[in-house]
Amino acid sequence: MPSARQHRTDWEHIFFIALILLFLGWYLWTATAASPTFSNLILIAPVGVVAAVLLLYVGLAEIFGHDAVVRNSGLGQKTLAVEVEPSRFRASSLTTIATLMGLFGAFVVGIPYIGFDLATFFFVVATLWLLGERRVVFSLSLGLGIAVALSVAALTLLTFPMPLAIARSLWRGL
Amino acid sequence: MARTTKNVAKTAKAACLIARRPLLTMLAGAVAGSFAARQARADSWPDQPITIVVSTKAGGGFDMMARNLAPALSKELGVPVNVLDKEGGAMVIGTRYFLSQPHDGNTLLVSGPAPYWYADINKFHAGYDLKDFDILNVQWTDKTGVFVPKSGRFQSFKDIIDAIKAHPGEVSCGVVRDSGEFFNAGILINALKLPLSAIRLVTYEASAPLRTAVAGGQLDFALVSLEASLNMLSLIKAVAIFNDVPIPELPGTPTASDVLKAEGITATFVPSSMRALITYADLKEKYPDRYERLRGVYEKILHDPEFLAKAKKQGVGTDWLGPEQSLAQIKAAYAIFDQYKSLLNQ
Amino acid sequence: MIDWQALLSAFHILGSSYSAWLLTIPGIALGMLGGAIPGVSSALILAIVLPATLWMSLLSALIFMTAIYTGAAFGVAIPAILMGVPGSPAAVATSFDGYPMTQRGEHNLALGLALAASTLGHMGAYLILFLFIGVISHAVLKLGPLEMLLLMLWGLTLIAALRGRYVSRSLLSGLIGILIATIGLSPRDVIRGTFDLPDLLDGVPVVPAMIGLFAASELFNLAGTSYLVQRSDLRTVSVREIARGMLSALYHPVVILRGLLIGATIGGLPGVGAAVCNLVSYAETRRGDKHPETFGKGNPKGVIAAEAGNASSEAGSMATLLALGIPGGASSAVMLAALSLHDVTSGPQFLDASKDIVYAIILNNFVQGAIMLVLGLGLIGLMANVIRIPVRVLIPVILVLATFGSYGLSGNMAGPLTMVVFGFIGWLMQRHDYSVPACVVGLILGGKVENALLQTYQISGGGQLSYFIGRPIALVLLVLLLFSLFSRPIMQWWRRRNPALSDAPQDNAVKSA
Repeated sequence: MPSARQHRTDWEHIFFIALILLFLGWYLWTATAASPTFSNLILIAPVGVVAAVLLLYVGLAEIFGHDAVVRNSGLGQKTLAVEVEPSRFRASSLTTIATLMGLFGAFVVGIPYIGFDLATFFFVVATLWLLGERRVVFSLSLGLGIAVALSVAALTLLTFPMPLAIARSLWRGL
Repeated sequence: MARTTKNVAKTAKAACLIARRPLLTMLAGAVAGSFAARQARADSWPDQPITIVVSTKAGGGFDMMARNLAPALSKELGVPVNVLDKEGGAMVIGTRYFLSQPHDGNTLLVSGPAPYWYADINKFHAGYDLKDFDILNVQWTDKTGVFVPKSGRFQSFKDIIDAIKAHPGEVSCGVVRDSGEFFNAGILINALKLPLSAIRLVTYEASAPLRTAVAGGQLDFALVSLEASLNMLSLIKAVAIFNDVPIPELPGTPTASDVLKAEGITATFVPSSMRALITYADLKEKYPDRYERLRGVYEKILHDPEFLAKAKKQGVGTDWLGPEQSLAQIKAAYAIFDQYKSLLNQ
Repeated sequence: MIDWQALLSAFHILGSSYSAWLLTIPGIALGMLGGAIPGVSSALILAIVLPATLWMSLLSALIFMTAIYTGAAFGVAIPAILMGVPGSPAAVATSFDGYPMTQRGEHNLALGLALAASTLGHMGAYLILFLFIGVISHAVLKLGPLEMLLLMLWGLTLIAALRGRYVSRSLLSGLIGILIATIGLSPRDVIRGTFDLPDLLDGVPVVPAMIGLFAASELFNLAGTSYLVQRSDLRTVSVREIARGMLSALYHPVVILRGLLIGATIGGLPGVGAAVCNLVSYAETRRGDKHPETFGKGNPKGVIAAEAGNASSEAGSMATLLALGIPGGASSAVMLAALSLHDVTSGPQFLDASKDIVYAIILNNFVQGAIMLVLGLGLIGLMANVIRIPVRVLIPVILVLATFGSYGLSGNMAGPLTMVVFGFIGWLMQRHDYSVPACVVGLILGGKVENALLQTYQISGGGQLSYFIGRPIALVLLVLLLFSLFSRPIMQWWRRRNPALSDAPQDNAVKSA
């Protein structure tokens, strides 16, 4: 049932929509430029077009409210929105999540530079701290333990080298 | 005493052959190395395991060729020889990985300079060129066969050609995308003086689904590599082969050129997948002794009756052309690809 | 149908081969443990053990490998249920209802259901394989590009079924997923959207992308919480509960049977693996259910359907592997390599000549199912203790393991980097109620759909109608597809028109936007 509450535009959502639109536009453009033939675009073209239409609808609905879009487009009952409850994902602390994602990104990007072993250790320790773990000995041991276990796995099981800073030389020294 | 040492060393080396796990390899290598050092002090190379990089995935023809070669090479060179499959990007990933390794003779490559590298270099911005490599030998060249479903509407190559001419645009032909066979399909239609649209060219990702399609009667005919299709002869039938002479595995099957000649048509076809053992272009000048040793050992293996018998049993090719002739053949194939470059962009 | 002589010979082979039996248990355990680590797929484990199989006889090698495959098929459901992070695409649908059940404290039940469904699906499918291997392989042959296209589209209708709050946003997710799946080399070798990176030539790696999408939406958002199961009184691991779960799966034989049939038949299609089977089985069960709106919120039938579909696909892909020599996916490709290394070319010739070995493998797999029940109970009893580990410890550990797994699969940083990128994307999607599963379905099926579409176009000579007529299987599939898409709306419309005739409550809970 449509609610009487005023529609509030979620600009974060608009930003997200803009990002998707950017991707869509760019991808369709490069794919067509690479080869504007039927065989190349047989799936991409129709999918892209439908996606663009949907994107437009979602974007307009976000800016003007679903009711407005529905009224003006005459689409009828089926497309009315259920009133949006605050999503549970907005309840969690945004800074914590953002920092966690940042740490994870730094971890992965850092692997080729400081080695999987060191990166793992630092990531585990830092993340534990971020998420509230205050037992220092526990954090350091866990970080060390995981780094050692995975380095051993990498050296014995994997058939191609994994970037490791100190583990490999330690291993050879054993 | 010396003989015992030799035997132990041999056993230790044999144990290394298959152990791909670096740990086992290292342990075995350490053991073997200390024994081997006593007897082989004169030649110091190779002194570490050799890796054969395969730029396709496990289980395919290239992988089989490498795994077939590895034990023999290991026996001759006295070090473990490992196979590393690095597939991806139509062979670009594995080949680039190979190039990134030290150019010291401890890494070899098994890949497909023709036709795969042609597309890699010209279309896929691979970033390397033929001249970055030294093709030691094209060991295994697939032959192309023309196959039809056992109970399909055409039972001979001549029937197919007649049908294409009589009803252009109705006969369906399957090929693996951008393979040698793909080019051959184009060359065939060209030789019949017809546009490519005269056949319904259906492209498949790999030869296995293509053979399934033929076996299931989905296609009228297919151009596909011969060797791997031989195990499906209960469901598919070879009606012609692209080769100079008929082959013993398929008695009674004519060569494509014979059939075409009878129709007054001539054409030069490209060979199908060419599989080669490859090293670096600068190896010869940086480490000439290692290069010569590699080439010598490899040539010796390909003339060893025991190896030849085993390879034949596994279905692996065993041609020895040598570097010069191999390169010439590849370049000849590239010349034909150049002629039909427009096909690549259909 | 059954070659009795080969069967007798198979019993004899199995009876005299100790090594084959010795390898079964470690194989299953290895598969289960490996599969339980998100990012480590059965293909990776099989690739690691491939060299070791050289030492074994052909039978032992195949039994060891299928044991790993079997174990992993179930193992991937464990993190899917406990954390909402599927161990591989094969357990995506399992997480839809499995994880909500964990959040309610019903994790033991869910794990038991999954184990039972997995085992029954596995054994049932191998039974079908045993009876119909010849028929199945011939049926596979009859499917041309058009039939494959319809099958893939049927899979895609899931996107319509997997909607979150908003139909439009879920559809959009799915469509974008499809587009992302087309990045890389096209079926006609046109490079699309790769930024000139050779690592993207094969497209975006699906497993790391999926781990990223799910990991983000679950693990990142768990950041504020303390334990996976909020209520401490429910935070127990009870083998008895798990066993109860296993038994309760038996109350839904139709669901299991459906999943079983789906996996055994379409699991055999090249390119259609456990990932598709588990999703299709889930979607079909949901579609045919009286209360589809309860799916995705912890409906046990969802877990059963997904796992039955997943586990039975192994038998299907073994059928095509052994009978036609065609690998269905990465895992069977490694098994094909093992066959080649033993000088065996699988295919119709192999099936005719070595039927006893084939039967031996089937029989052993039957027993594998029974072993898995016992072994699985013990192992999940152990692994379920994960819920007693505080989330703040789980998050970094799982993320690091997943990174390790995705590196191991590709051998370079493309895997982990993809995981990070899709982690961010997945989080954004969750934040704005875009369905992550829909995107994953698009990712998994997008490439295959394009391939089938293009081939259909090519083989019909550019879309000529003459090709489409006279293909009965395609017609049947089309009817199934349309029925799948429209049966529910039509039924709803019918009920609305005739409220007196309907005894089911109006589906007011199901709104769409």
